[in-house]
Amino acid sequence: MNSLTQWLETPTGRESWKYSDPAPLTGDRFAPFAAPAPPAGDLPLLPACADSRRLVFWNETCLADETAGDDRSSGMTIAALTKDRAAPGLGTLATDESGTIADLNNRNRQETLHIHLEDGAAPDRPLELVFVTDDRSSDRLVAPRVLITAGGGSRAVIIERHLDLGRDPVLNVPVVEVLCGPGSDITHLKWLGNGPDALHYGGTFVRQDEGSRYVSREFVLAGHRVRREMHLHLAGPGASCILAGLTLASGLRHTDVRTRVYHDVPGCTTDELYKGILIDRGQSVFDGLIRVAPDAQQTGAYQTNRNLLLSDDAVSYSIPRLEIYADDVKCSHGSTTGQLSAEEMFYLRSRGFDEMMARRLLSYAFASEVVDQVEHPGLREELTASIQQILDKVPS
Amino acid sequence: MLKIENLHAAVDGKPILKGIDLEIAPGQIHAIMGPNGSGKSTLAQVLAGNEDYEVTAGSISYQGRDLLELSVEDRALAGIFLAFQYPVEIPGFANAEFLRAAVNAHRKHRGESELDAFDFSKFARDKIAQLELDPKLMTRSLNAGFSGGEKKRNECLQMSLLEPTFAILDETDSGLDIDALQIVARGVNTLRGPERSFLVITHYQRLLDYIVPDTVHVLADGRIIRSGGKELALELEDKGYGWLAEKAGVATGGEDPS
Ligand SMILES: Nc1ncnc2c1ncn2[C@@H]1O[C@H](COP(=O)(O)OP(=O)(O)OP(=O)(O)O)[C@@H](O)[C@H]1O
Ligand SMILES: [Mg+2]
Repeated sequence: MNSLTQWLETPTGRESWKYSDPAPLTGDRFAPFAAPAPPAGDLPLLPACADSRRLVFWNETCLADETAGDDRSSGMTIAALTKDRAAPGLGTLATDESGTIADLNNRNRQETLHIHLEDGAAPDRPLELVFVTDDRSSDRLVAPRVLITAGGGSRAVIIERHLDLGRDPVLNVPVVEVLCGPGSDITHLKWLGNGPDALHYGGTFVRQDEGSRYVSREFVLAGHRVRREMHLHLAGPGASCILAGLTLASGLRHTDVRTRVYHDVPGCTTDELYKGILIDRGQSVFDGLIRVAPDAQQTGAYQTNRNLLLSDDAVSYSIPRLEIYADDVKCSHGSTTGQLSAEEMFYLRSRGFDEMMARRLLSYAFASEVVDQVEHPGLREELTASIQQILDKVPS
Repeated sequence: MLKIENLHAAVDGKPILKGIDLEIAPGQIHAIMGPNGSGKSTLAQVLAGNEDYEVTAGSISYQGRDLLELSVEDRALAGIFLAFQYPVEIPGFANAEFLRAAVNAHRKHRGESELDAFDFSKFARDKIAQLELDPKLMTRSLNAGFSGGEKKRNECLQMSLLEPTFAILDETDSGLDIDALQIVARGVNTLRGPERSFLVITHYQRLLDYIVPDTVHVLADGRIIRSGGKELALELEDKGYGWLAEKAGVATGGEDPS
């Protein structure tokens, strides 16, 4: 029995996996790569933002950085650290105790990608990290690890994409740690376009220093079983975060979003909005907790989860939670789950839209509250097209 | 154009319309007035095809067709337009996109080519200007956070873009300032023609100074208790509904019109 199996037997472990199945994480079906498995021939055309600096990880192997170009002077350095090399901060947030995903990644990761932003650095292009697996990843456990250390006053847009091209299941366990220095401003956009049979259990671990701003927008558009965790500590006064997400689950897919936000000091804000669209027999879980410590006065914490059920067989579990131990705070949380509004349907149909079109338009409208906020226009358009494509196939 | 006979309608099993007879000829404008809760909006919703309202008896024929057989969207495509008393807010659906998609649904139905964003904005520009609608409202979400008057103007814009054959205006004048009232009336009068008819629901005689009706009906407790010329509206302004209701033997509620 390994430490993970033991942990899953504890009350915390059981609570953490109440609505999702941790079995793929504990079984021995999926094994890490024994040797690097770079692409065999030419790279297929991968989705990418035209204006980004792009790093491709192929079956866990980091390919040559062909887009590095001229931003070597941008104050951003990128290094691949071998397993035995430490970097300041690495593993301080995603510790072995912080739950299944971190533990599994810590035990199985190969290289760590370290992205460092010097004080005041502001690269003018987004950095795009594309994690790809192919057929050689079937039955593999893939554990990419990224460490982002943002120096004081630095700012950057980081785009994280996950893509499975293989036919057979792969288990992705990516972990990203982000240390936001004082006054830094990091936008982290995440697109999960995992293969139809892929298992993805990924986590983001963030610590924010004084006056920093961290924005996360996460889109879970595919994958068979997906669990996304966000662990975020507001550790310096005046720090703020925006956490947003959109999940689309169709067929028999199951998605699970778990957020843990800790307000440890005064004057910080959290603005959280997660939405889910459930189709066919799709399932979603949202389990969000914001904890406001006794010292964290003048906290603003808002958490919203909204789910749209487009079929009678779809299911969504929503567990929004605020734990508040300070008294001078502004906090709210809310959760709604429902079908398309009859009133809105009637209004659109009275303007000449047929029922199917009206349903689609209202579903896009529901999604767009999250998509429209994406800071990068190219990515926003790409996401919109992907989401429309999925929604266009929804049976009425 | 439209012929309603002995129309009865109920919501959740509760009868609201209790035998309406009304005939509107092409080119005519009819006004409906009446106390709160008398069933004016119910009539409008039934005409537009809202399935929450159950037609329990009677018939409606529109241009010789059985209107009750048509779906909501088929009615719209056949030229029926309802300006809602309470326009619906749809966050996340840009107003301009909504308007363009609605116009295109009608164009497609007529076998015409769809308008792209550029051609649509050319097509809509004059109408937006005529209604003095703040162009900023075009990029915002449909009706979301619009003021009462802005919503009503947006309903009028939809009417002038879709150029309906039969338009129902449900208290489109409520919540409008005096200037807006005239602007909305201008919108109706521009469309007015021998082939178009209007049913204007209002609480205020003032609107009828600008949109001069052929006939005014008084609806109380689900029935038309009086019909007359435009002077009837003036008489109502003066005396209220009580005297008519007494004659007809129905209750009028007693709330102030809003
Ligand atoms: N969807 C509904 N569910 C329940 N009751 C309804 C519904 N729609 C209308 N009613 C009831 O039917 C009656 C008539 O309502 P309606 O909205 O048609 O009145 P109205 O004449 O338009 O009033 P107002 O002048 O206030 O707009 C009212 O008693 C109202 O409460
Ligand atoms: Mg009404």
